[in-house]
Amino acid sequence: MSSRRHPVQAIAFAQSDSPKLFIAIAETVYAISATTHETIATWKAPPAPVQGKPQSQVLDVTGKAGEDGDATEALPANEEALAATTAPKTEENVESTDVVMADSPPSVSSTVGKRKRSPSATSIAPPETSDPTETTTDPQKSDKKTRNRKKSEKRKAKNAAKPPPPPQPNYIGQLVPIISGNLLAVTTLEDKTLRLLNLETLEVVKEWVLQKRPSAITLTPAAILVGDKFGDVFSYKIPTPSEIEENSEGKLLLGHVSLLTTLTTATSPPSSQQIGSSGDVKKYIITADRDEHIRITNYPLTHVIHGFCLGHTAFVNRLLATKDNLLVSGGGDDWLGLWDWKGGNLLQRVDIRTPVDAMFNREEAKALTEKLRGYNKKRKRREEGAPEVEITIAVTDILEVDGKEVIVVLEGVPAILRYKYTTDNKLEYAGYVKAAASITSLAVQGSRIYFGADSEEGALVSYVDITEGEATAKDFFDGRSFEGQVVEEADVNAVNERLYTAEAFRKGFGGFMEDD
Amino acid sequence: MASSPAPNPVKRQKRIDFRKTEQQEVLPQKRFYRQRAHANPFSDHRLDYPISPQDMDWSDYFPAYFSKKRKLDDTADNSEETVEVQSTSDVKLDTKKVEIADIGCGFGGLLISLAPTFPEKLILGMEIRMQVTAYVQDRITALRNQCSTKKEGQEVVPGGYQNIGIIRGNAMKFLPNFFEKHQLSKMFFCFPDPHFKARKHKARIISPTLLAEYAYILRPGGIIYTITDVEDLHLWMAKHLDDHPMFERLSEEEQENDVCVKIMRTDTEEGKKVARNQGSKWVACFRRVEDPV
Repeated sequence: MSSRRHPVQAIAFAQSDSPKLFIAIAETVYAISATTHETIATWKAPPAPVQGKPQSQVLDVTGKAGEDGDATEALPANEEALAATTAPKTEENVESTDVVMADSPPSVSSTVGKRKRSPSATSIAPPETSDPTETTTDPQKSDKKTRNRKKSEKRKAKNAAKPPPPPQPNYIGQLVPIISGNLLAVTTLEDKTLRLLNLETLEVVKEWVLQKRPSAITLTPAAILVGDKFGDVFSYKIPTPSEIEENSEGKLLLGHVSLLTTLTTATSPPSSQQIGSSGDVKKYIITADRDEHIRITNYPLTHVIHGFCLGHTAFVNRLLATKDNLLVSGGGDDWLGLWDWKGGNLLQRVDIRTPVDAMFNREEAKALTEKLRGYNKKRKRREEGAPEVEITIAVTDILEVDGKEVIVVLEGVPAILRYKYTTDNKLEYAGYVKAAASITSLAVQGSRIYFGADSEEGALVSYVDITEGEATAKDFFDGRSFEGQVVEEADVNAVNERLYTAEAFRKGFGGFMEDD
Repeated sequence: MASSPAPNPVKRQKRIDFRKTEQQEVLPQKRFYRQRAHANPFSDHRLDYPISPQDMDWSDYFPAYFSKKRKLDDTADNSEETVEVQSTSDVKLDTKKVEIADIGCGFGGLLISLAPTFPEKLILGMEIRMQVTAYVQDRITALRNQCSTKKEGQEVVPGGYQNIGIIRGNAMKFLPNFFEKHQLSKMFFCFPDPHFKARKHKARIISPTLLAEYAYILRPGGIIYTITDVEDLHLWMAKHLDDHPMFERLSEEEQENDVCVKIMRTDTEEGKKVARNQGSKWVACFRRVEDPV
């Protein structure tokens, strides 16, 4: 275990009774006064229940019914103790299956890996196959049977021998304040749960276990919409104080057959023109996925798809519905899309490549791209002789500031790009705000931007008022060190893998393709 | 993850040899195009699909109906302005749109039967398995060539198989890349992968969330045809289509009078196999209703 200064991975602002900033560092949410900069409340996500088949099998075999419940409600302190007690049980389990097999070596420890185990399994093959052939008249058929049985036994043994996966920290995913309900919606990634916390005290008032890992969240006036890694969007009703105790379930609204990266809502005609005639106002959910799609779905009639905004050639990662009822999209392409989303028309491709190229020299940019790609284990490292790495761009956030400009953050890039509206409603590059290191989270309040940066030295959270002509950010904690910033972590790369996920959405970089 | 085994070199050579015979009229043989029956719809395949329906060049699939699109420089601000090559005096070119889709068309039996039944309509088969797609492509080419070099006494096939095409693609992900809103009048789902395990149900081709997408590309009044030999899957598909507000079931009478249902029962490759094994076939057809106002 070494410790690492952990950047703020999610940030949100709430203008409630007293203005507050919510920041998430690894597994903890902090509520901080925006005026005094003092911590008001904290909440740490409980550890995720230990998962995996081998575990539950172990518990079944030992037949202690109580164990199961204990495992799922394990407290942080119990965590290690539990792991310690389950380890020898795994061994027991292996032995018991061996007894059933009757011809395996008597003691195989749980640490024996896949490779070591398979020869022993094949060594028992001859006596097994010779037995049935003597008794049956159809040797071929029984051969197949035993082979199948052997296969399943082998698989069972393999599963049993697998050590339980090390517990993963229950990372905070998204944070969204619900001002009307005085609540904060928080998703956690490892236990796949959506919780509502009290906005003042950060006490949990309600929770829903999600089917899949959440990847996107947004609010409507009455509901929280959560998109997941399987492409589905579920709606959870925001409870009134009297409904808090009632059981309510998520409702499936729509689904992509792809990883859902982001979602937002929009109305048509724009809400500023709807005075008096609410009949014509139509609401929509706009969703985007890893397969380049932006989909416009009617809301609440989500079985009616209004249309698509097609034009991206790489994954779409962020959407912004602007004040003027346009849509800005960004992801793995070198440009942002500016859309008339109602008609599905791409109005402008806003260049983001040139500003980034001007910021870095080529070698730096290449090193950055390589580094970000390397964080994802699933991807193969570049092989010798393979074509040179192409420098790529991944948009991780797009927000509108005060209805005047659009700001963009790219993965790994230590700057916030600014784009201003021109008179004909297009976007034009307007410089950047420099940060100490790559930006890991972003929030906007009025004309002020709050952001977290991944640096060991610089400010943990910075803020800047851009419309006042400022372009240098100030340290939110004014040089003080913040109590939650240092996190124990066995593997520094594990943190990076969780923080830098966008570039991993890109297809075809030596990654696994089914047809290979 | 286990990827599909390396292609059999002998089969591959046979396929290459087969394609070399120019203007071939000999039908391809399935045994050189075998592939495992399942493909994971969630994983990335090496697929070619257009950015949007406007970007699709159909000339490779329906050469009798489309002229080649000229590629514009990518620098142009508007992606929609794909300029077509000066189409010659033939005004028929480039006006037609695909109207019928066979999703997971397999070895193409349905396509080939539908072709002379709807000679004026363009029919597209979509199949995710590469080898199977190659087989259907070769089969269509051979049939077209047979028609164009007509021998005496040979029956005239309406449409000459110029109205059917096959494309390799993942229909669960990329249908909106190929088809515009309300473009199709018929969609076929014949003997789809049953995905028996409950946790694989999202991989089924008929699912509550995918039906919204099918409703989007089908025009009001358009019909979804489903057939399967797995009763559980039939009940699942019928239930989800029944539950979906954009679809209503065809009456028994309408269904039995539909020529497509007859073709689907008898002429799909799977349908023939099931008949040989004397299995049951379950049919359910649904009409897409008008959009809510």
